[in-house]
Amino acid sequence: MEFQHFAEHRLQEIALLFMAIVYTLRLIWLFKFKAGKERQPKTGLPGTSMKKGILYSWANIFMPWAMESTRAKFFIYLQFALFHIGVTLAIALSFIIPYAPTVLEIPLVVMLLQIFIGLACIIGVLRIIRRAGGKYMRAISTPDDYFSLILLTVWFFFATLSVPNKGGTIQLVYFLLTAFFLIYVPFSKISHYLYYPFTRYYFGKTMGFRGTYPIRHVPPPRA
Amino acid sequence: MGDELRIGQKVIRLLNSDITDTDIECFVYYARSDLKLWAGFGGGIAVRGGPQIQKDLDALAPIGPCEAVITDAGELKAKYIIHANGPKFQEEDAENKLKATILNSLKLADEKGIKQVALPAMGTGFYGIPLDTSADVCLNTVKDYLQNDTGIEEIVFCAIDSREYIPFKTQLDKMG
Amino acid sequence: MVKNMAKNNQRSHKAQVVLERFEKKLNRQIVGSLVACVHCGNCTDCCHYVLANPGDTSFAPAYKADQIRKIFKRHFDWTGRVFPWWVKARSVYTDEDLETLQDIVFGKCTNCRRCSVNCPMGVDYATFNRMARGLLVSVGIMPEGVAVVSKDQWEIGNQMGVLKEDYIETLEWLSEELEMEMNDPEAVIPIDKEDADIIYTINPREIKYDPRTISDAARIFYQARENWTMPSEGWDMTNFGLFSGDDDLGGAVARRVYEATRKLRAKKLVMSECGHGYRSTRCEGPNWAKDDIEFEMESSVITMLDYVKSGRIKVDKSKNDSSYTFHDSCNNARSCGLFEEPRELLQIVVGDFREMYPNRCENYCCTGGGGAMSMSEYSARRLKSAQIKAEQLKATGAKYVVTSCHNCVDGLTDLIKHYKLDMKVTQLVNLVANALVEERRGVPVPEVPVEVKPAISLSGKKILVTDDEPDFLTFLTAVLEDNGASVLTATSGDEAIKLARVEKPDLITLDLHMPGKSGIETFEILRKNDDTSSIPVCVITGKPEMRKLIYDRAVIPPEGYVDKPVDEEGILVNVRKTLEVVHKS
Repeated sequence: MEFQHFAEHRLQEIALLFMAIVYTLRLIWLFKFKAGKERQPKTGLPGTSMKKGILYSWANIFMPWAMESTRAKFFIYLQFALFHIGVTLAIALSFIIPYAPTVLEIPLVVMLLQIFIGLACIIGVLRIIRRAGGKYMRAISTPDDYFSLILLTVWFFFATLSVPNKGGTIQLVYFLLTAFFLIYVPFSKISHYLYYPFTRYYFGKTMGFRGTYPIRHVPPPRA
Repeated sequence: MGDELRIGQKVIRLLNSDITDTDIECFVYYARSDLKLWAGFGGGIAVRGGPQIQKDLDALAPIGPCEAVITDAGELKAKYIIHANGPKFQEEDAENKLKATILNSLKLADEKGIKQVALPAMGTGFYGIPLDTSADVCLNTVKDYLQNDTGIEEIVFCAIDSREYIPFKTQLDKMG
Repeated sequence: MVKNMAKNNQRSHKAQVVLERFEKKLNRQIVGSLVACVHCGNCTDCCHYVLANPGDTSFAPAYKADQIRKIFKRHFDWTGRVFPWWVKARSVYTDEDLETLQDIVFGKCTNCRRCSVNCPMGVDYATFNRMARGLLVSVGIMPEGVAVVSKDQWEIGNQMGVLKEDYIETLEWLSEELEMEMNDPEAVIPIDKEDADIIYTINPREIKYDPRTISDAARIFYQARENWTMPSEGWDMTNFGLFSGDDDLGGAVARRVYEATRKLRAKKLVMSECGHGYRSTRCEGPNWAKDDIEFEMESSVITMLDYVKSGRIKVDKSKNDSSYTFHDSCNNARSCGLFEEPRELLQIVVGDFREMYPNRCENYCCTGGGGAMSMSEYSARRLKSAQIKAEQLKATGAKYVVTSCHNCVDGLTDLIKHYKLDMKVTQLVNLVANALVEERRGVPVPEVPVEVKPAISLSGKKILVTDDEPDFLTFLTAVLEDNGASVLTATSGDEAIKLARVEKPDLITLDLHMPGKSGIETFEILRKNDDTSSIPVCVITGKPEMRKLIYDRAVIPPEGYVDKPVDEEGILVNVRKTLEVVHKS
């Protein structure tokens, strides 16, 4: 019990602190590189602008219709969305259990959490199959890609079973995995969300200033 | 137009001009070891000077690093061309090699009794030697050379644009 | 960082230099793109190389990007430095490693940016692919064609090595033709005129192989009563620095154009229809040259559109009576947001416009972008990968594909021939000029037009025509003889060489694709032989091998070039131009 308490509280705090420190160092590192300057006068249609481009770029993630790559593969996008909702909820769970356990006394909350995290777990399995089974995906995958995906999928599995907050080995494994996850994240591809705002900011800034963003999609007329 | 530095009776001059179309006794072409006139000034020489120059070069090729050979300039305004195999693309010890290439070219001109030699901004542009480095090595090397016993009376640097001209002028002013 | 790791005797000098420069080239945007890829694979199907080469994973954008990324990871990324195998990090050690990288960054990507706009993470692969090209170029590792074009642009001032006298002669010749056609001494191409409202800059391809685009532009300026000029220096608005990744070249070339504009005190810099030229001069040039531009810069598409909309020129769309589709150049549309104006103009000057799908910034590359047209070692791969573009073109059912990019003109022309599509390529300037409702100014030409010379007569000129197709030989012979030339014919390379040596013609026309000795071999022999080396050659071909002659330069390129299928006017224009320029110089 004492170890379980340690795993749910102190261990998580240490892991979070570690992650925060490493992330801060990572951002300092990123900002050490000078941002490229754009001197050219604006191009593109009236109404396009740097600011609009940045906002559009950030909002891109919520607009599967915006890019051909997500438009044409909506099921993949849906998987992406549910997977990331699962990540958010599984992380939230690691705070709810130690700090707001009463929330988990509401059956609907338990059910919803289990459905979404469980779905994320199933999608994790699908993603493992997609990554390992597809020739193109295999060609671009690293051991880190596989490990991160398997780690998250296993973590979802234990998170799903831990939602009712009944304690025990499964819940202990979930918290140990969460701690490992937090420590591992900054060194793996999972840290992509740290970079996401910056890459999309700069790309949106450029493409907005040059009038490419928002993308003007003109599909063929329906027959 | 042009800036110049006098060294006794001799002179170093800067010109903004295409070296292959300049009225000069002899100019230096920054050549490859296989001595093929292939693009850039090489294309200018081949087109304006006629096919004989390449034929003469084929008989002389290949040449080693920093070496130079001389040919007639065909139908060009110049009489001779010195083809000098200078350092390229950030190769090791580029500055010393550049200096050796310039000296070998000037010696060859002296052997031929040439009084007037034009050089490009040696090794800059396509071959990537930084302009400041080239200006420093080129101008100091020719200045030292003109201070010694040589029959060359005038050395002209032909810059193709202001980007080349300005650092050479800055260096020339420093030396003046 | 790199310095410490690189004290490794096993690393070649070039690999060491590449690593050191890599560090210097990194900026925040590039670092972001290098660290943020999650290998989601969404970019895979966005690349025309992938779509046309199913199963070959080495074309996948993320895979290609990883060949650069792995170097970054090995030297700059924490995990990659400590556990390189875990993230597939690997440095470069040998010149062979660099050559392998060359095949990827030059031979398997046109920097079209289609994957960039389709990346959920905002990874701009095309930008760091360009950076990698620049790193390789800095140590002399690049395709031969890239080297030729770069050196020409560095030293001659334009990417096709057009000498100043040839440029001026061609403009004067075009100017005289315009003056004659318009019967007006004011109908001229002004060179180096100061205080003009517009300084017009072009692609050297126009001088060398497509002078009609210059005369068409001149006719439009004349009809619009524009106060315009063309500069004698700094006239090439294309910029191979964009393709080679060499920012120094990019800056040098852009600066020459800006300096020409300032020197002549022109109010506006107008660039002819060229996608990479527009992007380089209008957008990237100020960054490379570190020059804040105070004058206006625009594409000639916008200039022409303004003329039509403001009534400065009048057009009759019924003159362009075929069917037309529009191909967006990647550099114009994806990197500069120029996609609505050309459509607007096109729909004003043609009656039957058919949209291509996908389009605008989602369009597929012409497959000749990013300097691919100059890299003849990758031609087979390029043309195979053009299948997706061919299908896209075919689906429009149009007879003409219009594009505002000279590079796309060449890329599309090649693939149209390769895939035997019933289609031609043209540009807006040609269509606008063709649709012009020309106003005759009523300024009579002086009674004795001493300055106006007639188009060069072919009378007294001996022309050797070489082609293995009897029909074409007969056609060409008839056209040239009707215009006064005396014509000799040869049906093979060997026969052409023999006749050229004996007869010393004033001009040789040469088909590239012939049985036995190919046109390329024949051309090289003609150029290397003392008796024939100075005879001008006009290549008339339906095959893309032409690229090899222009870019992989073992000998001086041909003086003229005509694309098959060809009409009488096209042949005469090019034959006259070749004879005129050579004659004058």
